[in-house]
Amino acid sequence: MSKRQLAMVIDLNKCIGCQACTVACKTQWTNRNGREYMYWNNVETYPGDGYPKKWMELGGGFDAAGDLKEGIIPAIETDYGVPWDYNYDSLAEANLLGPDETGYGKQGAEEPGLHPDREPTWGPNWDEDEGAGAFPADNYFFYLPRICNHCTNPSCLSACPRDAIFKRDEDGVVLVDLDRCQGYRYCIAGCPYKKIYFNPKLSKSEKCILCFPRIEQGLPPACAQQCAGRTRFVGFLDDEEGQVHQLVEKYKVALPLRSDYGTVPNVYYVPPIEGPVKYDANGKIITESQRIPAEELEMLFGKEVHVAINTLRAEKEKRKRTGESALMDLLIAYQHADMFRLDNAYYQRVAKEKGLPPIPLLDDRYLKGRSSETAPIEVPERGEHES
Amino acid sequence: MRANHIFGSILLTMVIVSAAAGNPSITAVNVTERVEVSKIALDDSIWQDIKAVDIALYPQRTIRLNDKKANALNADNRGKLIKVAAIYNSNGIAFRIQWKDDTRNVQSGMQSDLYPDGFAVQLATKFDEPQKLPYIGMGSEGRPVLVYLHKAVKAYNTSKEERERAPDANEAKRNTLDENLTRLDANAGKSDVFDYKKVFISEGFGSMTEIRDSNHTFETDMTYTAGGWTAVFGRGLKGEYADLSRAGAFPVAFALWDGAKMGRADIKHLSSWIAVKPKERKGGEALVAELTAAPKGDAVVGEVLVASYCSSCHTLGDKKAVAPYLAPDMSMIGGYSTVAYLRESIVEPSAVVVPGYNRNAHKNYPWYGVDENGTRVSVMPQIWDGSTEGNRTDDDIDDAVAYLWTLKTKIEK
Repeated sequence: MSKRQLAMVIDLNKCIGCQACTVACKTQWTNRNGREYMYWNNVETYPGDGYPKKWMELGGGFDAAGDLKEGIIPAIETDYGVPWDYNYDSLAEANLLGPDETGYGKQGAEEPGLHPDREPTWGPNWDEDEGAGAFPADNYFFYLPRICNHCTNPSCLSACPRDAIFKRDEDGVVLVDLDRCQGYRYCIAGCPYKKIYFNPKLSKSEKCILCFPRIEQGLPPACAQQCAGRTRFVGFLDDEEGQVHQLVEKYKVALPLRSDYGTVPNVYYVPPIEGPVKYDANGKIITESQRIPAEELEMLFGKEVHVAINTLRAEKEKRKRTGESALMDLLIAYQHADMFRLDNAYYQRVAKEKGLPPIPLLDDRYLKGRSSETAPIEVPERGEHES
Repeated sequence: MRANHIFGSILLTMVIVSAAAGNPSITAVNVTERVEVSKIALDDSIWQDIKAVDIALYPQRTIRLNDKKANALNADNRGKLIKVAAIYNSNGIAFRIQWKDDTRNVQSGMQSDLYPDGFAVQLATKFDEPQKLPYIGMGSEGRPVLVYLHKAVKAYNTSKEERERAPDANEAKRNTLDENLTRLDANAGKSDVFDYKKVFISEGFGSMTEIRDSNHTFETDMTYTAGGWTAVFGRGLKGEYADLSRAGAFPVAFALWDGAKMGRADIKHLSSWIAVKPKERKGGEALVAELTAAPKGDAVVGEVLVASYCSSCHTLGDKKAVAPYLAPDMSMIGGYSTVAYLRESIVEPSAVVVPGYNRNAHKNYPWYGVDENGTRVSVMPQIWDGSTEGNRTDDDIDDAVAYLWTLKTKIEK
């Protein structure tokens, strides 16, 4: 276990599935050098097969006795999907013209219109917005954004026979030492969330790094900062004034995904409580009905989900009635900047202890995330270390 | 052999005689100084005159890793025979290795589930005490090994120039990079490009560290022709990490990976330490004798002893351990262990502690502890050292070793 743990809370009631997080992550980290197919952050539609395809059925994690379970390594072509592109150039040049000019119909001529350059087989949002249930009476879905859970008991780390995966002592971020990694891929079989990927170009495994170079310099992870719905809180679990600590420990409304896998994940979700009610055969509202089956939420977030949902509903009611609810205020997140509580000073101290050079501070708006046990130290001025 | 066991031994001689045979040694032929041995090609005509020796490799089975498909594919692996020829002169030593393989597996392209065929040659950095060689599975603490590894991995892009021209060449962008990629594919089809050639120094599982010292040069190559692979490994005799320039004999070990069975890491075939005798060099008799001798004990008696003392923690072939993660699986231990290693492990369990994987993956079954000096201490009780009354005798240990030596699978046809 690390000394401190950086964690994320994602409010599923506010996620609109816009994929801004996905794109932020992709352009920051995974649009090149063998990572093209990877989505360290993806937003999938639940229920659905997700990304990689049917990841919940591919094994990994630990059994009840604490032994690592076997898992299956997904294939890029069929389970992740190889990114495809379209024939924009030829479209602009010829395809919009009539049959006479393009030679459409002649042997060997390209068919007009947009064509993918490879047969698409699967992708990160292949079944987006499909969901389950019969439209319009009781169909349902919600969005499930997923990054690496930076688990307290990471099964990718446990699966690696090369000791190439480590959990940072200072903040619990789980990283691959690419110098040690030999591309054996046991980590991929071991991760029950399938959030560690094989880079075929480097022949090594790679994964979400929780944007640690940004975090250290006072910037939130790209996915969280870019979130249009203000769904993501980032902070240290031991920062008692922080929203992450309060949502997870105090109110207990943010719960880990599939904690039954035994890895003790550190991304927490506020479960979805708001959805349309069901209609009966005559199109009449069934009052008090819920489209998202409680047992599915229980499967995803454990038995604690019922308590969490009750708390959320009660606080919402209280807010409606009295105009006051600290929890609702917190979840509304009036100031986006307040959602991130980082601690550059802490990283400065860690760097100093390790004899590493000081870490420049790029943004000073998010630096409230000290734990009560870590004494405050002077925060360097912006740019102080840039020379 | 003690009288009361003679009868049983005679009856079983026919059965265990093959298992009890020692390993062969390899004679490295001294070739003319004009040959640049350390860079010899695998199809050089010089190999035609060199007699190859059959060396048996067995599936390594120490710890069960967590790849479901791979475990299923490798559940019933048999041993493999490889043919090894060796030459040397003052500028180097080279081994040519040949083995059967029905499929040519190359790791290439945008694939996450392809695994390459490959081979490794392992050398001990020190071998002056033939009874204290490094652990066969990538060495052990204080007894490092060099591992020369070559895998059939096709470079994602074929050449430096290609990479510069198409830095992010990606099949998905075929329309924009069409010309480059077409040529790239054509080139790749014409010539096999193998670029995974590395040397590591290692003191046990999980400690393998690449040597990036440009002074430590070696050559490897592998090529597939119908039905199997031919590979070559060559290096200079001297070297900071293992000096082979004076030894009368030295140990070598070989490993193979089969990409068709998702082979990598521990999913491999492994030989025992094999003695290499450079022809016309003096000395090395003790090492050759140690590595070619069969165990002297009685395997039939040993089986009974091992069953009563070892089988609750160690899986021994069909006899599954009660707690499967408590101790290394010994089902194939006879295939790749030296007699001296088996004896040492019984008498002094902490002499070689296979580190790594187990402690995180199976927390309830740590098979070693770590003392205040950071030294790994095996949880195996040290009860067979003959030092106290009631302890097993030296003969008992010999018998147990003789039985453990028989724990290996058949060689595949």
